[in-house]
Parts: sequence; structure tokens; C-alpha cells
Amino acid sequence: MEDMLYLMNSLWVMVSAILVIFMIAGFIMLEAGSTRMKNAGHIAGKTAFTFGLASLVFWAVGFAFIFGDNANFFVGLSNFFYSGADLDLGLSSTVFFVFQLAFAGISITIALGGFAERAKLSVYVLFTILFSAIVYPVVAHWIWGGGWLAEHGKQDFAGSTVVHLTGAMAALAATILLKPRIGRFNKDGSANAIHGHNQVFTSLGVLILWVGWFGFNAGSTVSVDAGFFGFVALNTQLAAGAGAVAALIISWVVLGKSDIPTILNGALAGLVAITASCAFVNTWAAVVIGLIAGVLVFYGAKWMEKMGIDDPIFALSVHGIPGIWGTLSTGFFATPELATVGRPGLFYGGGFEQLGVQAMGVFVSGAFAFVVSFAILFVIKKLLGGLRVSEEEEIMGLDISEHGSYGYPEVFADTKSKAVGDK
Amino acid sequence: MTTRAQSYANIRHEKEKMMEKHLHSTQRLNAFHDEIMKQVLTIALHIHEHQYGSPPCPYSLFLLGSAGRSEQGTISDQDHGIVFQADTEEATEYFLTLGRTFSEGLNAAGYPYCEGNVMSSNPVWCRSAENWKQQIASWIDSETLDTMRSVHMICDARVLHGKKTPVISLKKQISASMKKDPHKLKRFFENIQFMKKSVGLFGQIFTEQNGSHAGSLNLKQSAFLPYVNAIRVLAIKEDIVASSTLLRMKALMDVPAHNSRIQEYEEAFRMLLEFRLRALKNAPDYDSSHYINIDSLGPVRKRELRHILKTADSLHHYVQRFTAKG
Repeated sequence: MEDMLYLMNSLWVMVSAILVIFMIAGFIMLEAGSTRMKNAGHIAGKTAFTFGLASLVFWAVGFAFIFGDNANFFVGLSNFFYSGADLDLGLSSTVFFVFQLAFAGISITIALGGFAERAKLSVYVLFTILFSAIVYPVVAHWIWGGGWLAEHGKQDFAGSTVVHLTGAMAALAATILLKPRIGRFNKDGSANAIHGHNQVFTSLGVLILWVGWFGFNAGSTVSVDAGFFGFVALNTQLAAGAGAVAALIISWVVLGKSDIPTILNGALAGLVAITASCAFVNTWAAVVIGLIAGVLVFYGAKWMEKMGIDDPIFALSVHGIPGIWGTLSTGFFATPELATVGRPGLFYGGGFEQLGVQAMGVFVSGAFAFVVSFAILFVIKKLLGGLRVSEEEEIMGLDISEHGSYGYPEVFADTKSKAVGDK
Repeated sequence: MTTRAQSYANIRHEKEKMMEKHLHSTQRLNAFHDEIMKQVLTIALHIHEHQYGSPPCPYSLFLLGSAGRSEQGTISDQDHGIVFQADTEEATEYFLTLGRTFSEGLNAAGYPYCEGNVMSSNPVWCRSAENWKQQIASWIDSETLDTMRSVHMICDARVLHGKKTPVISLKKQISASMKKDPHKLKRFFENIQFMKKSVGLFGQIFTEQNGSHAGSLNLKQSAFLPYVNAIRVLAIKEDIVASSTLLRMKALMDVPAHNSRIQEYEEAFRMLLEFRLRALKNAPDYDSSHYINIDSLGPVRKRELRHILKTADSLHHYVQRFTAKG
């Protein structure tokens, strides 16, 4: 029987790992669709590449830093260059490794979203290595690897903080250092819309992410015990739906039109928010959490714009603000029966204790991710003499400037010959 | 050649110098525009007659668009047409050339060419009375959005030079066709049916989200055109030949079916004209003159604006119901 459970757990988590890895496809569609044609090939290709690169880093040091023994305050220190050794986890350790690797890959992909349409390819390479080695593993260790926040009973079931907020804070550091894309803001501070080139890609990207999220959240049970993953999946679905509905309503009320990018962001925001709380709250709470996330994502994007921050693919408003909200939400809604980690929330007689832990966790993790990412990028900037491609290259598009060929060659056939002729 | 260019330049110079003095009322401003255009026409006629001789028959030159409605702002592009009596090739050639000369003159005097080519230099807008009659009948007959748009254009025609009767009879022809076939009136309304929503359920005003006018309302799109368009439809239905929205409203008040409603619409429209003048005076350029920054308005002005927008919506629905009834 025990063998059976071991195999079932391994199988379920392997399926989930594949689902999470497939979310990279979702990000490719989402990001490419939300940006311009001249950068489409670059965005799609680099996303596949950085996932590959991050995997190697995770194998070399990431996994060891998060889950290794002999831990100091920041990281664990065993199982570098993971050999596949059995770690006695109740499921195949290698499956667990692949599952965790996928999460690290998602986090860096979110972070790189903030770089879109203006960063040099070399910056992507260097930042992927450093983020995957020293930013993500520290936060993951603190919360999931038995670190100090885990000891406080910080609730983050599948990573609203660990994966999404960490990625978003790196994206924030990047957008600040990179500065807005050419033409995004006018001299008087007013913003121009730079529309994505394909809403169908973006929608499909969101749907792929949505499906992948069942691996992300329900897979985070890392076991098939009592079929609890079904409940987690149920909450996940409810929050996504509620996020989309709330976003449609709020954009309709405020803009007079239901805005497609906002609706799509609403679904994602619901998913990001429920990620922390999906195993700890009742179904009605999942709906409330999703609804609030859908409203937050709308105002979040407006707020970013007002602050003069150019967030091309909404990394900050989708993963950042809902990530914070989702993490805090367990402090309100976690029920005594479901709070297997930490304590029940404010609405279930847990007082402010869990909410306090959640707030502290969000703050410290977010601040750490931001400060270290900022420092890394600052050093890279000095090292490479700037993070951004030249103005000419940005106008030309990164497809041609960074890679020498277009994602949509027919569209740019003329521009290409001109661009080459100019050189 | 030099003198001609100089004359137009003088007119332009004069226009730019004097414009300021005429900004206090829409009526004054439009009388001023008329005056300038007449001066341009005088020169154009002089040049033209010098080369091609006197006109072969009586004709009327009319203005279209905002100029036709006497609702121009400070800068507008030119819209005009010609209707002439003799249905001959010679006359057609003569007036087309005159139209070209006039339109060049207007351009030189600071009225840019019409992008849609609604100018008497274009054979579509320069025809004999007989030819116009057939064209309008055929436009109404095919009732596509494009042809109905042209019918809308003609409804705003106002004679600048020549007799009024030829233009009046074109409008009468349109009214008669609509009366004969209520379905055509419905199509006529459908042409202007799309209206950008500008006030929400909770009275919130929807502003531009992006660009240098973010936070502002496009007054022309959201308020001005809805009034103009809806009133034009009513006027045509009631056989009213006036071109300006205010005159049309005045005439509509004498129609028993509408008099109870029109007063409310007229008050709101006058308020809107006043809003626009104020915006016009403060605007740094033409494009900005269409926009009102909502945050810069005090609570009273904001309430007024909301009232204007809501009334536009109500007028729009009123006309829709009316045309649906046939």
C-alpha cells in the first residue's frame, strides 16, 4: 500500500510538473501577444531559452539553496548539482526536483516580463543566472525550505509570495532601471497605450496559464492523499472565474467598455491571489479573493501608469499586487480545519496573529527580492554599460537588432532591407 | 500671379488677426468665416471669369459640414459644393474649374483641403440641378452607409453665393423620399446610430484613457455631434430646410409632435455651445479645442457637463424611437 501511495504521489506530481512547465508556453503567447510584432520572435525565443538556462542554475545551486541541509539564515547547503539521490520525501525525489525546478522557471519568467521590448539579450542571460541563484532560492528557502518564515507558520501554499511576488519585485526593479519604452509617456507625463499585437495570442496565453495552474496549485499538495488536490483545484477555478468577472465589471463601470486585456488580467490576478490560499480557505472565500484580485489588477495597472512605470505585460499589476493580496488573504480567510500550516485567519477567530505573519512575510520577501534584484541589475548596468538596447535598435525592434531575423518576416521585409542598408 | 497669391495671403493675415475679436459667440464667429470665404470667392471668381468668361448659367455655391451649419470653430477644413442650372458638359467643365480655383483660394486663405474630398472641385459635389436630383435619388435608393452619409452631408448645405432655391429643393426632395418610405428614414438614422458612451450608470464621465488628452472628454465626439446628428434627422423628417442646429431646433418647436421635448434639448445644446467657446478660447491648438479636462472643472460645471451628456443620450433615444415608428 505504501508503495502504491509513493507511486501515485510521484505520478501526480510529475503530471503537475509538466503542467507547470507548459505554463512557459502560456507566457510565450501572453507576452508575445501583449507586445509589438517587431519584438515577437525575440520575446518568444528568449522565454524558452531563459527557462532552459534557469533549469541548469536550479540544478547546480537553486535546489540546494532552497531545500539543502546545514542551512544558514539565507539558504541550505547540500545537494548542489543534484544527483537524483533519494531524499525520503514520500514521492520520487527526482519528480519533486523537476516540480520545484518548474516553479523556479516560472518565477524568472515573470521577472523577465518587466524587461520586455527594451532590454539587451545579454541582460536577460546574466539576470536569469543571478536571479535563479540568489534571489528566488532565498525566498523559497525562507517559506518552503524550512527557513525562518516557515517556522513562523507563513502560509503560501503554492507561491503567491515565493513565485509571483518575487518575480514581480524583480520586474519592478527592472522597469525602474530600464525606464519606459520609447513613446510610452509624453513629456507632460500622460501615458500612451502601446497595444499588444495580438489579443488572440494573449487570450490563449492566459488559458494555457490557467490550465497549467492546476499543476501549480493542485500539484502543490505533492501527494494524492485523500484526493485533496481536487479541493485545491476547485478553489483555483473559482478564483480565476471571479477575477475575470470582477475585472470585466470594473472596466465596464470605469471605462464605459469592457476592456479585453483587463478581463484577461483579471483571470490571472484571481489565479495569482488564490495560489497562496487555495488549500487553506473555503470555496466562498476563494470567490471573494478572486473578485478582489480582479479589481486590484485594474487599479494596479492604472497606478503603475500614473507612477510613470512602464509595465508592458502587466507583470507588476498581475503578479505583484494580487500576489500580496493573495498572501494576506489567508490571514483573513484561513479556516481552522484547513490551516495545516500556521493558524486560522482573522475571520475564523485566529485574531491578527496569522495576518501579521503573512504581512511580515510579504514585506520581507518583497523587499529582499526588490533590493537584491535592483543591486544585481545595477551591477549589470555598470558592467555592460547600460541595460537597454540603443534607441535605434529599440525602434527597429529586438527581433532584428538582437537576433538578426524577424518573427514576422513578411511584415518587415521592407524595413529590413532599409535597416540593413542604414548600417 | 503674384497679386493673386498676395490677395489670398492678405485675407489669411486679416483672418488670423481679427479672429480673436469674433470668438465671443458662435454666431459672430461664423459670420466672420462667411465674410472671409466670400472675399476668397470674389477673388476666385475674378480670376476664373478673366480666363473663362462669365458663367454660362445661374448657379449656387453652398457650404457643407460645420460651415454649412454655421457651427465652425476657429479652424476647419473646407467643405462645399455647387449646383448649376444648365445640364450641359460645357457648364460642368466651367463650374468644376471654378470649384478648383475657389478651393485653392480657400486653402491659401487658411482653410485646408477637405480630406474626404467634399469640395466643388470634385465632380461628385459639383453638378447640375437635374444631375443632383438623380444623384440624391440614387443615394437614397441604394441606402448604404456611405451613400446615406452623403445624404446627411447635403442636409447641412447652406448657400454662400447665388440663389437659395436650388439647394432648398434638394432638401425637400430628401424629406419627401423619407416621408414616402419610412424605412429610408430608419436607414438615415442608422447612419448616425453609433454614439460613444460618455456617461456611466453612476453618472461617471468616461474620459480618454491614453495619450496627451488622457483624463479629458472629447466634446465634439461625445456631445456636439450627437446633438447635431439627431436634430438633423428630426429636421429632415419634419421637412425643415434650415441648416444650423439652433435654427432647426427653433423650427422643431413649432411642430406639435416635438414641442414639448425640444426646449429641454435646446437649453442643453446652448449650454454646450458655451462650453465649446470657452474651450476654444483656452485651447493652445485646434486638436485640444475639442477636449475638456474633467478634473479642471468645478462641481457646478461638471454637473452641467453631465447634464449635457445625459440630455444628448436622451435626445438620441428620442430620435431613435421616433424614426422606428416611421
